[in-house]
Amino acid sequence: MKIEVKNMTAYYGRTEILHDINLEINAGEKVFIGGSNGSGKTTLLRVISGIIPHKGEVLVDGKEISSMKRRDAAKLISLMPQTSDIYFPYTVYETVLLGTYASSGSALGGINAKDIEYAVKCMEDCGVLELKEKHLDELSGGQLQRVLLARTFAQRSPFLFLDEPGNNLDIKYRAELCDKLNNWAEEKTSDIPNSLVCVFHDLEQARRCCTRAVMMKEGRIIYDGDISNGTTPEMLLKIYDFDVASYIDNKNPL
Amino acid sequence: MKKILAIIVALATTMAFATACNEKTEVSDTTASEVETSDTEASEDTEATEPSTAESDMLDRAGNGIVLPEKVDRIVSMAPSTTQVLIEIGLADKIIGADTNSTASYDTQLPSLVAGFDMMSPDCELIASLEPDIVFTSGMSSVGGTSPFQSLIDSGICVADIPSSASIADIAEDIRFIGIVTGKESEAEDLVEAMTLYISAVEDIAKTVPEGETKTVLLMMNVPSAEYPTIYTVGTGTYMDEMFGIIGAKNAFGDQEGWLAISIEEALAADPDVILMDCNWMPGADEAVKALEGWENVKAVKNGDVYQIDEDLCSRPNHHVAEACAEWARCIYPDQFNEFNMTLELMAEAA
Amino acid sequence: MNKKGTGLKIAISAVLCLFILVVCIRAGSVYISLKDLFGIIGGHITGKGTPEGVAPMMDSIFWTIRMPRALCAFMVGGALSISGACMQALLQNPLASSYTLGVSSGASVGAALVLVTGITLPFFPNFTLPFAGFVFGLLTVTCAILLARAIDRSISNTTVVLIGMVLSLFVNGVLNLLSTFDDAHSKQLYLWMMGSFSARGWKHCAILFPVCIVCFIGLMLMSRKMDIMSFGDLQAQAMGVDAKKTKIVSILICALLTGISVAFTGVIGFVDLAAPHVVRKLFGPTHKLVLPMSFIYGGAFMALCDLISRTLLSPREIPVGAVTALIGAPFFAYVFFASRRKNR
Repeated sequence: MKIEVKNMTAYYGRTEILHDINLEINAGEKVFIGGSNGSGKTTLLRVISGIIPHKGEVLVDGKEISSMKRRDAAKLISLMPQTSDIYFPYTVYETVLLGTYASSGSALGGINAKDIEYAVKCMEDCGVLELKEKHLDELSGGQLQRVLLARTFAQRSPFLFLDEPGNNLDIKYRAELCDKLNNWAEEKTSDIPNSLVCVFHDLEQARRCCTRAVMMKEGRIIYDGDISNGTTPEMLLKIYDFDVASYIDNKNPL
Repeated sequence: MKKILAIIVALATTMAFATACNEKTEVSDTTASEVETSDTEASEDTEATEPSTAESDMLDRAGNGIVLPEKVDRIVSMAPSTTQVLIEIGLADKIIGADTNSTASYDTQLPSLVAGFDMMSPDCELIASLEPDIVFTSGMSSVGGTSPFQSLIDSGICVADIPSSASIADIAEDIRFIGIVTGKESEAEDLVEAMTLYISAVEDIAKTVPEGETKTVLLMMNVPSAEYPTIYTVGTGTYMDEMFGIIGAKNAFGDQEGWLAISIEEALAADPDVILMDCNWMPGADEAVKALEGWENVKAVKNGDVYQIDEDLCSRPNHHVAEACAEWARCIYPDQFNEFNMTLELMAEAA
Repeated sequence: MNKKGTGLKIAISAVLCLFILVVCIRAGSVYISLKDLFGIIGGHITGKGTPEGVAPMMDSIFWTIRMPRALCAFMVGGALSISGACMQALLQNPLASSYTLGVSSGASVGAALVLVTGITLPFFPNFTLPFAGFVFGLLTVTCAILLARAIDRSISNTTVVLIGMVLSLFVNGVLNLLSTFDDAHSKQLYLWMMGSFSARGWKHCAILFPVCIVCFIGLMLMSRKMDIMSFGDLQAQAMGVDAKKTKIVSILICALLTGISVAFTGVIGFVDLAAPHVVRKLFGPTHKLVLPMSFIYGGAFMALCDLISRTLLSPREIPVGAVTALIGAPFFAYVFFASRRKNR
């Protein structure tokens, strides 16, 4: 089981955002996607999860993602988007339960006891079980972020795509988030080993969660390999055109 | 903030000016009318010998003082009911102008007719240019208390107003008034007599209707529709209600007063035995009512007793309402009235 | 989850709605006792006919005129409200309604054209007007969607709202032009533009009822998808809902609901905006509850408005659209501002 991206190009309107991307992600991998703002990280996540159209091939388990039914695609890849606009004040419980839609056995997306059980487990894992009856508009930014993570877990897909999950989280929760993600990656939620594909701005988090780095610049992958080599000061200088090492406390080894 | 303040101040001052101006114009208005009244008073004083004021002892049917012309050779009639009376007292050839309803109905009987006028907005200049000796107007024309003929009155033409009458007695007075004004008193009296005789003939037959068989009748002036769900009918204090009394029928809405607007539900709840459709403008109104949804259980519809009556006959308040009585009676009590074929003319001859 | 509380609220709402319906059927220029009313209804349902002691005329008034009218108002209110609820979820905008897509004004143009040209449907001349209204409503929405798709493929909300607005402005222009050209029907057109339940009978109910039921079931089956859709297209896609397909299907259902309502009664505003909003305040945003409760609340509200429209200046009738706006707008403003204060 793997994701294969072959000669993939993606557009936003008429602007080409991603140029000729080739990438392979095997089940069980923990991949960090890095790069400066606007380098195409978010677009890459969305294209691979089949939300944005593309040219070339994106194969998940040998099948083109864009020709899959949305629900089947969501069973394989769950994406936690960077933006999480709240328009209607659902409760935390209702929100997390919605995450089970794709994996639920019911054809029409009805809720069964198994879904509820799993949603409760996800809430517990993310530490939001006690917020269960709260409405989304009553939550703090950090609480909301954890609720959405729980919802993404509830989707039960082997590939977890996270777009800056550390947003709005204080340092303690960021550390906890890393533990949760690592725990989840070890967990066996299906026959396929769980994989993480994460965009982080916090390199510390990236190094704690991921083993492989895919570094992007201007819509191209410029590095793909071990995370320690991918986050060297030289690499970061190349990616950001900015001396990251001197900005970050020198004691913090990058 | 300053800008907003400035705008407010500017607005306030304009408003103040505007109101001041209004007050001014009001003041000048009152002075003008005062001047006018003093003028007329003055003219009355100084020109007391003028025939116009000397003979102003006659009141028209609206209660306004009028000055009778010396001769009546040129008549303008602004109501079909009046036109009809004028024709029948032998003045058809003197009618030079009439309202468009009159011209539509009596065109062929009016040899001297020059022009037709809109009842609601008559062209006073054109009327004046016809140099009529007298202009008969009706309540139909005055809207909101202002007569559209004021300029005619001001120009010294005799304008005799006959408001729409509410009773048959008033209708008789209207006819007599027309007779007096035109110098055809005896002819007018004949018409009144014929009407009175005719009505008592109808009343006599109506008395033969067995007690307990009195029918409830609903008069409708329109067919209710989704767009106009309101029904127009008559209550007491109208000559039409009086007509029901003459025929010996019960007006379905005789417990209310005046010209009425009622809802469909009220009409149904009244459950009339007979429905009379008083609307010539809608041919087939009787069939339309029979086809209305929800009206199947109304006695009149169930028994097929929905009739279209001649609006021209009953809605023009003159002596012909007597004939309208007979027409209605034939619909309501066919057993008693089918044989009754009297006409006003015959009645007059008989008299 | 506070299931008991919700159950109680549902029960109270249902009783309240039934009570309002009975009030709407009873009130009017002719009075009826409850016993007689239920006698008449029972007589028709059991097929025994009018019970003894009840004038057949009462039967006509209540069974043929008032009941279908009240039920028609109820169903139209309900239909508009669930379509409103659906639109609000799809556009993630609690202030949206089917109006923003121009269904209502599109339908008005259809009816106006029928009035002006005098075209009638073969076999069903009585249904020419509603049919034209429905078809034109659908056409307007289709135009809106096609235009929106041409502009951006994923049909973002702003695009839909903007296009709907532009279309309804355009369509209103056409409508005004039509009524200027045809003075004879301007009164009828005017009434139709403001909405009226006058003279709506069982034949209207007979069409409204199945359409409402089918559309309601359709939307209920999609209720979880709509919950997901109300998090926005991106999140919905990520959670496994085909946003575009769901939008198109539900917009078609909404167009059918709104189109047929508008066609039967004219353009009635506000109910579809307010009812779902109030319901969300009471029951939360889950569509499994929002949809049926919106139907009940919207229906009861519309029936009440119709009651006011036919009794306030009896025997004259006020356009029901004017009543809904007059009562509803201040109420809606209150709800809106109250919620804003709370959020602050």
